[in-house]
Parts: sequence; structure tokens; C-alpha cells
Amino acid sequence: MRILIAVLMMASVPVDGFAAPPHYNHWDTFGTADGLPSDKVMSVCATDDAVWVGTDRGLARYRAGRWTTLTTDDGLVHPAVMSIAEDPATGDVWIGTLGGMSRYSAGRLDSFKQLSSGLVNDVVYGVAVHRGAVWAATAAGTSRYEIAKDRWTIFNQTNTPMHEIWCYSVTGADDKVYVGVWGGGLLEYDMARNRWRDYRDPDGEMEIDLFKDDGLVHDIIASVTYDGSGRIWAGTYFGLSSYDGRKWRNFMDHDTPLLSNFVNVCRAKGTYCWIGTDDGLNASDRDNWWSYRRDEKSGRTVVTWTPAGGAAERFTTETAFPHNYILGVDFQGDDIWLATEKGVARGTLSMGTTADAGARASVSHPSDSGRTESITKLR
Amino acid sequence: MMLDRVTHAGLAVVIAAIAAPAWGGSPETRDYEAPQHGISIERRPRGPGFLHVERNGGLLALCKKSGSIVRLDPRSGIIQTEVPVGEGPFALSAHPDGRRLYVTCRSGQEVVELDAASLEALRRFPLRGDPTGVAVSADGRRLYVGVHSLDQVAVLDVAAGTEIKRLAAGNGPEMVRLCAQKKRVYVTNLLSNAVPAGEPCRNEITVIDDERARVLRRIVLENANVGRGVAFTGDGALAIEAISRPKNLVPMLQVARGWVVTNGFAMVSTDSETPPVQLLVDLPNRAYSDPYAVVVTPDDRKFYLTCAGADTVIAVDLAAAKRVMSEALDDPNTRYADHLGMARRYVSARIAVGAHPTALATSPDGDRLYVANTLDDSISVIDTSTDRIVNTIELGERPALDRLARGERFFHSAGRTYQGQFCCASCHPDNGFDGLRYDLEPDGIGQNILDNRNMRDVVDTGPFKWAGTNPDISTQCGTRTAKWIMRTGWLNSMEVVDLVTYIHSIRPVANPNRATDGKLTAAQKRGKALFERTTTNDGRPLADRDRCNFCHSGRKFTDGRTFDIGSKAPTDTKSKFDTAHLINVFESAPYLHDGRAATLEEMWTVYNLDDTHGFSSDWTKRQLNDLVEYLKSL
Repeated sequence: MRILIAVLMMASVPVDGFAAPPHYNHWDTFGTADGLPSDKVMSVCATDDAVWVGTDRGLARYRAGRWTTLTTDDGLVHPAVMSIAEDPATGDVWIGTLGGMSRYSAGRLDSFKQLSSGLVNDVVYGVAVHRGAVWAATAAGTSRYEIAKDRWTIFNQTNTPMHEIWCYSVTGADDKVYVGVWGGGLLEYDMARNRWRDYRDPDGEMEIDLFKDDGLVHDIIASVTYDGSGRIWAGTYFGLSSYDGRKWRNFMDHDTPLLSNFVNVCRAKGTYCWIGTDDGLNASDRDNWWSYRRDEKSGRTVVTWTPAGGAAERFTTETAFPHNYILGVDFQGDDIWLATEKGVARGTLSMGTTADAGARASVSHPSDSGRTESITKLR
Repeated sequence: MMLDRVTHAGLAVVIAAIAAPAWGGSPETRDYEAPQHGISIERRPRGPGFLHVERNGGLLALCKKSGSIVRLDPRSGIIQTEVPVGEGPFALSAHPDGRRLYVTCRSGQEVVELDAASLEALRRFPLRGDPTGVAVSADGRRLYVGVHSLDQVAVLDVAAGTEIKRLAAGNGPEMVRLCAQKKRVYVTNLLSNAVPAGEPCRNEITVIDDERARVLRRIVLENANVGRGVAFTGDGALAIEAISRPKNLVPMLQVARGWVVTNGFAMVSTDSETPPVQLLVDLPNRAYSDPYAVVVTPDDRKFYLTCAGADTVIAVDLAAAKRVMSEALDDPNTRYADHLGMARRYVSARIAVGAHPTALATSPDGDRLYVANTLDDSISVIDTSTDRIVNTIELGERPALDRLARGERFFHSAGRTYQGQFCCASCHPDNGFDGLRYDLEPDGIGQNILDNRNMRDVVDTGPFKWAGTNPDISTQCGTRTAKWIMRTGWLNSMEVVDLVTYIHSIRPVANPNRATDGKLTAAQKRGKALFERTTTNDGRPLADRDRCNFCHSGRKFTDGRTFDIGSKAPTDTKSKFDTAHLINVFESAPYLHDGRAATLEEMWTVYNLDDTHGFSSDWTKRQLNDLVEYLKSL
């Protein structure tokens, strides 16, 4: 199989020698004028047939070219939607808000609050569904809800190495679950052994990295994601960290193409991690980097490709996402969806033009499933 | 003791020896006669509660009391075999390959795979949480099983015999049926979804996309409760569900004026988002309580609905019902769902059958309707062209009715209630509860709203009534009930004894939160310690009344006294309430005497801010969760 993939990849290398992954060169923006409850978009989750967008005034769903909204009038537990996750088995959508958690299931909204359920706290920053359990990262620890057993478990300072209880992000990763804690580092839960361990910044609370790649870059973690190849990524407010089970690698804006150390969100797709910062969007597989930044003056996107050990190439696209403050990233097929300060954006690979449009090139793009897709891009 | 099965060869000899014309004379005048059996049938209660017609026209009856499946020839009435299947068999679904059957066993907490020919058990899949309805997917690869106690549908892999996932259902999934034409699975739910106190109930039909095994749609039936059977028209365009429409927000004083619980069916278009239409089968002065099973004839001319509390099968002209449905959709301002004069337009026959009919099936040609009379162990055979009974097949020699059996019949019969509006089981379906709040008392309209209570395992939980004024079940459910609720006068002493005997026999459902070996989880152990603690978290001694197990003491976790726990509402005339027992408290939401607490947590987080219901203000959230885990295990 590996040989086949290698052959396919070799066959798809463009004749002009361009080997970069495809980049998003057309952006559509959606806001209140399109039906969103608010332009302040804080989360996005793409499923097979819909895109769910969380704002400070409710939830919106994009399906078949139409937006519909769900607010507290419809039964949403709180208007400020911080996180959204789909249960891949059931299709139910779990919604983390600043006032509890909702489950959207075929039109019905169920509420889970700290006063009426086992949810540890109503301030739910992150939510994930992994192997039949819903995980909620809250301002007072992490809750696990085992669906089939209808059973809640609280994880906090009493039963984990959680030095702070302000949990910001959670993600499932094969037989593990990772929790990003704001000020408490990264926690790893081993499902089989029912054990927790923590990863902390060896430099403590310092906002500099004394020794490079010695561990987590900082303990203030805003987002965590797993890329499916055994690597966990942690976005902090002082840089980005990646851990492959043996070694840490850290990335900061002064020594890598990372646009800003202030990382709001990480989202893995294939071997790349997509990083939403307070100043634009990055993608990296550790060695190669994409940077996407909206140029406010021109309204265009400046795209930079920095291959490992190579010179940076810069492109400009006619369209741009609406704001560089990016709080959410997700993918639907080849499209990328961004939650930003001023609306939600959809980036597509195959539409639009570029300022310095050149020849079409066919490039290899390893997908989540490991197979190689041939995608036509403009450059 | 279960019966030994007989071989087919032996069976043929027996049948030849004893086969005789099953019934003669006028079917209308002929009542129950001695059965004609192909095998020796032991005299014992069977309780047929589910019927399935085989491809060759044979009839299978699941018998929940005897834990067996009976195969019989419905034409001759000859019983061919009886095989033990498990405890409390409830529903059956046939695999499309024709070789396997799947039976849920509620008490046995399992799904049993049977060989369709021999009825031998092939495999058993444990499934905790009170498995109810079952349906095999159209491709035969999956099973959908209602998990009543957890409000879920379990999706099982048939080949592997393993569970794939759980889908969120409504409240208490009941029947699960595949609509093969539409590739949808319809799940009825016994109880209303949770609604805020004072709002009408809302029963859900959960629709699953069979190809993706995901919930596709949730159909809400406003003001409906106790969803039971569901059936489809031949083209799959219409689903028909048996429902009740309780008027629990109306004081029960209205019993004397009729109209407290009405009974009927919901018609649901499977093709669109067209709203469901609910119609009644009651007459202005005669109710037909406890709609239960539904079946549509193969020619789509009519459907039949059992009214279990009225010992009646209702025949409905489908074309006429569709016309009324269309009118109702066009005229939303007319209260078709509550219209007691509407039934005459579509009900074509009301057929008196045996005691507590809960299952229906038609013969493959549609000529015959089979009705399982659960409480007299018989099957009525009805000619669908005349809607008259042509045969009654008894599943064994009928045992003499003892106190228990008489009490069970009383509990499930609306015959003693004014205009037949309801029976005990109407508000206590499956011997439990309906999850609703009622204004039961003749003390003024809108006063003393009370949460309905679970009837399971109530022995040694007296006194009864939320005010604790009735010392025993005889008082609670005897003449007082007849006078104030049934509105028919007095029960004689024998009737009271019969009813109490039956109520005392009701067992709790298996608790899925309790390990089969009885061991507590770590969280449950911590919760138990909190339940039994004698000091606060900072070491100060707790007064007796501040401890959980002071009032909730003993085997059933009640001391039999009343206390003021600060729950008196402006509409209450009393402030002291009965210490509720805690057996299977996990299933009896909502909580507190008037059902104001939607969950166990809310009893303390919302309604115990002054520590009047035990000292809880020093609990951490984790302690509360632990306590809830423990309570759910009781």
C-alpha cells in the first residue's frame, strides 16, 4: 500500500516542480446579512451535510446553501456558543456555551446544566465526543458523560494532576483524551488504564522559552488537537507546541512562520495542524508552513508558503476572510471554515483567481484517511 | 417449570388424534370454550402480549408471564409448540432472511436470537436498561432495541452480536417498528418528554434513518402521553400510533363530567414534515381507555386499535380517517384532537374481546385479525369482513381466577370508572407511573398539584398519598379511589383485597445503574458515605433531620413519616409530605411532591437553598454527583 501511495505521489508531482500543498485562494464570508445571529463567531463545526456556527447570540446551521438559526427561544441553553462537536456515531451535535451544554438531536435541543445534571460547570469552553462519551472542558474542571450508561464523571484537582481547573479545550485521540488547561498545561487521560498524566512547561509560568523544545511551550493552553498520526498539538497564548509521543517541538513567531504567539485554536487535518491566531491563520506539519493573513488595506489575503529549508513564496488572493482574529477552524471536504471576529468564512481550493496567477499545478495532498488526493489548484 | 417441546413428528400424531372442529355455532354467542391443543399445555398464566404471523400463516405469541413463545395454527386453534425464551418477553422482530427471530426480554435484560423454525435460542445478547421494542434493519445487519430505562435506542450488530451505539429516544421507548418502504424505523415512547411544571405533556415519536442508523426526525404529539403500538399503511406513507390524551392540568373533579383522559390515535405522514393529527375513538359519554396495539389490514381498508382498558378492539375506516385528517390539517382552529363527536365518522366497529387486549396481527391474506387478550390467556380471531369474533383460542386451560388475577384485571380495567374513562393502569402504565402531575383532590381547583407516583415495589413504603394520610394501600387504593377518582361509588371488601394483592405483587424493573453483583462503583460508594454521613464536610455534627438516612431509612429508604422540607407551594394546603421511598428513584422523575424538580440534582441545587431538605449547602459539585450516582443505584 505504501509503495502504491508513493507511486501515486510521484506521478502527481507537477512538471513545473511546484510541490507545495494546495492553498485556499477564494473566500466567502457570511454574517448577519446572510442570516447569522451575530457577526461575533466563536466556534465552527463542519459535519457531512452541514456547518454549525456558534456566535455570541446563538447557533447557526448552514445546510444546502441556507442558514437557519437556533437561539435560546428555540431551547438553546445559552446564547454564547463557545464550542461545537458532532457525535460521529449518532450525528447528534453537542454545543458548549457559557451557560451550560446543549445537545441537538434531530431537531430537539436538550439542556445540561450544573444545577440540573452532572455537568461540573456551566461555563463550557470545549466539547468533544469520543468513543461514546461526551467530554466538556469547563471553567471548573472537565466532565465526561458516558452516553450509554447515562453517567457523569467529574475530573478536577481532586482526581487528576489538574493544577488549574480552568479547562479550555478537549479532544479525543485514539485511546486517549487530551485536555488543554488555561494555566495548567496539557492533561492526558489514558482510557484503558483510567489514568491521568500532565505535561507542563518546564520553564514554569515564564513567558519565554528558556530551552527550546524541552516540553510544552507554556501552560496557558487555549486549544488542543490530535492529527491522527500520533501527534498532539497544543496552542497556547505564547506559542504552539507539538508532541509526537517522544519529542516536543515548539513554534513561536520569532523563529517560525507562526503569525502570532497568541493561538486561539488548533485543528488537525491529515498531517497538518491549522492554527487560528489573533493575527491570521497558519498551517504546518512541523516543517512546512502556510500563512494566511488578511490585508486590511487591500481586502485581499496574503498567503505565504514556507517549505522546510526553502525560501518563502508569497501569493495574494482577491478575496479574504473577514478578520484576522480567528477562533474556530474546521473542514468540510476540501473546504475550510473559519470562525472570526467579524463573521464566518469558507475557503475553497478551486475557485477564484490569484493576483499572480500562474500555471495550474496538480499536487499531492495526503488526506485524513491516508490516501493521496490529486487536487487542482491555482497559483 | 417450562414445558418440554414436542417434535414435529410427534406433534403430527397428537394433532391427528385430537384435532376437532374448533368452534361451532354462532361466533357471536360463543364464548370461551375448552381449547383444542396439539400438545399438552400446563395450566398456568401465560399473558400473551405480542403476536407475530409467520410467512406460512402460523401465529407466534410471546407470553410474558410464562416467559415462553407459543406457536399455533390460528385456523384450527391448535397449539403446536411452546418454548421457553426468557424472562418477560416483550417484542419480536423477524430477520429478513426468514431464518431468525429476535425477542426482547424486559425482565431478563437481554435480546434473544431464535431459530425461526425450531424457536430454539441461538444467541443471547445482554442488554441492561429494560429492553422493549425491537426491529431488524431492512438489510438484516442491525437491530434497533428500545432501552426504556435510559431513554435510548441501542443499535446492535447482528453478525457480531455487539452494540454499535446508542441513539437518544424520547421518554421511555416502547415499540420499535421498521417501515421498510421508507427505510425508517419508528420508535414510540411511553411517556412525555420533560416539560416545565404546568405545561401540557408532549409525547415523541422518534424516527430513525435505517440506512445511517441515525435519528432523522422527532415528531411531537402535543398533549399526548402513553405512546404504545405503531403500524404503517401498505405504502408506508402513513404511520398510526396508539396514544392517550390525559388532561392532567384539569382538576380531576372533571371526572364526573367526563373528559379527563381521552383515547385515540395519531396519524403521521412519513413523507413530509406535515404535522401529525390526533383523533379520538371515544364517544361523548363512553371512553375506550388505554389504546395499545395497532395493525393495518393488508388492503389498507382499515386499521384496528385495541383499547386495553375497555377490552375492546376498534375498527377504523382508513379512508374516512384520512379525510378527517385532511380536514384537521386544513382547519387548525378546530380541536379535532379533543372532539368527542368525531369518532362516529371513522370508527366502523367496536368489538368486545377478552381481558386486556394488547397485541394484534392479521393473517397474510388479511381475512383474519388476531387479538392477544393478555389477562385471560386467549387469542380472539376476528373475521375482518364482518368484524365479528369467529374463534377464541385459549392458551392452555384457563386457571381459575385467584385474588392476584382478579386484582390484576381490576387494575387494568376501566369498567369500574365513570364512563370507562381510565383504569389504574392508565396513569400507572406498565405498573409504574406516567410522569405527569395531577390535581387529584376535591379541595378546590388548582390546589395541591401532585406528582404521580411509581406503583412498583410499594410494599412497606406506607403511609401513602403525598400527605401521608393513608396508612396502607387498602386505604389509598380502595374505596377512596373509587369515590374520588373513579367516581363510581364503593368497592366491596373482596375487590379491595384483590387489588391490594395485585399491587403488592408488582416488582421493580431491573436497575441498570446497579451492578449485577450488587457492588457499588467508586462514585456510588462515595455517594453512600455522603448519604449516611453524620458530620459536615468541616467536621461539625449533623442534626438527625439534616442527614439523608435519618428520614430515608430502612430497606425501602423511608421512615414512614411526614416532614416539612420547605417545599410547600402557594397552592398547597399542607406543608408536611410523605418521605418518599427511594427504590428505583432513578426512573421516577420529576421529583418532590409536585414534580417541580426535573432531575435529582435540582432537589438540592434549586429547591433546598435553605437546607430544609437535609443539610446540603456544604456539598461540592462532585459530592452531589456522587450522591446522585448512589441514589440512582438504589
